[in-house]
Amino acid sequence: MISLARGAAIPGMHTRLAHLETDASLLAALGAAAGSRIFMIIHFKSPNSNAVSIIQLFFGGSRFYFSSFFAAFVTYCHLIVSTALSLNNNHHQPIRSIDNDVVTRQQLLQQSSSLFSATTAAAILAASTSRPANAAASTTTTSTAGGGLARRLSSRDPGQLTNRIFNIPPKTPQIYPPFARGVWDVTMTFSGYTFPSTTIPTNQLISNSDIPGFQKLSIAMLGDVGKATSSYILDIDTSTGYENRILSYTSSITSHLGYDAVREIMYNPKDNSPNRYLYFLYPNVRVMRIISNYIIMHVNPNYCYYQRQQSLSVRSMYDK
Amino acid sequence: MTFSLSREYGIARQVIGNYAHYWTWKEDKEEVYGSTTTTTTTNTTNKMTGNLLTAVYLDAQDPLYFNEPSKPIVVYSHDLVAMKRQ
Repeated sequence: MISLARGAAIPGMHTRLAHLETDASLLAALGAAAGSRIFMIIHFKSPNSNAVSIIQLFFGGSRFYFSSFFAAFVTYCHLIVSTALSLNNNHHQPIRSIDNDVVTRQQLLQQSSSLFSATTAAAILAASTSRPANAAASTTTTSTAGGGLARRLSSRDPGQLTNRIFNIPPKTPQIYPPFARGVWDVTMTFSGYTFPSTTIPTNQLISNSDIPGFQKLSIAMLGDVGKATSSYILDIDTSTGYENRILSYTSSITSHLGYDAVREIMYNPKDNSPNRYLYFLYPNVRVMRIISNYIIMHVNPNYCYYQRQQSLSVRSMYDK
Repeated sequence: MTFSLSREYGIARQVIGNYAHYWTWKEDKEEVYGSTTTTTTTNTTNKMTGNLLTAVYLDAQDPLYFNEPSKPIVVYSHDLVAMKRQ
């Protein structure tokens, strides 16, 4: 079953794997991990493409490690599934290319980042009454509502916006409150950024051009993060409260890029995975695949807040 | 800067990113004070204000992933103003 074992050395990886079930394939993984400190990637081959999607949805945020964890479990149960690695069969290829434009934006970020420090992080998050949490006013009564989202937002600490380990998608689409229903023209104004990590130097982060937001189209809803002002159309169905995501994403990307780039979006909110799949097909064979794998929403009579976690896969073909 | 194309024939370039949007929307209301009484009423203005925080996380493929597996490495902030179409 194991077709690939490679990756970066990760301290303590063998201890992380030590508690897994003793399966034949896993024993091989443990041996390799303990002996050579090699990050194991367990690659399950299966002709069932749907299985690939399932794993990627459940563990979209941390595909390699947690898909390996889950793969060990399903192997133990004698199930055959595929991991997200099957979609990523060229992951061993260098995916980072540096061109002049990249350097330009990195330099820009580096210059502007000197204006920011850890102390400005709180200022960015607290400067406006409308951010980050209108939820702040309600934390006395809804401190645990929305899975603690209100508490995390009202803390105005960017470090509280933590990644979700297990991203189990909800069963139903996201439903907006009555006051938000209708068609809205939304203006987005970029108001700042911060690097909240204390363990990774900012300069080291800036040198990684694959971090979402450093390149255009690396965040679906924010096609160009640094753009001062952009707009999109928010269309909430007045009867169901469902968002017309196709319109939201199309209008937002068009506004950020300045031209009509979206050729097609494949999204069906009525199927069994209403929040899972969005496909954007661009000219020049650029494909964006979005997996919204976690949504939590809290609604009050005159405000709402929600978290929508996504994994975005951007693929581009060879340019002749 | 845009997402560049693959440099190798027949091999697609693929980058996977993980991030989370934190949206907050608040209905904008105006208070109208009564002229003869002390009571106030609120009227909707067909306007919403809010903000969007985008927390970016390292992908598990990144060599630095285990240095910062859960906390965001970058947070972007946007202010939002929505006007309802009549």
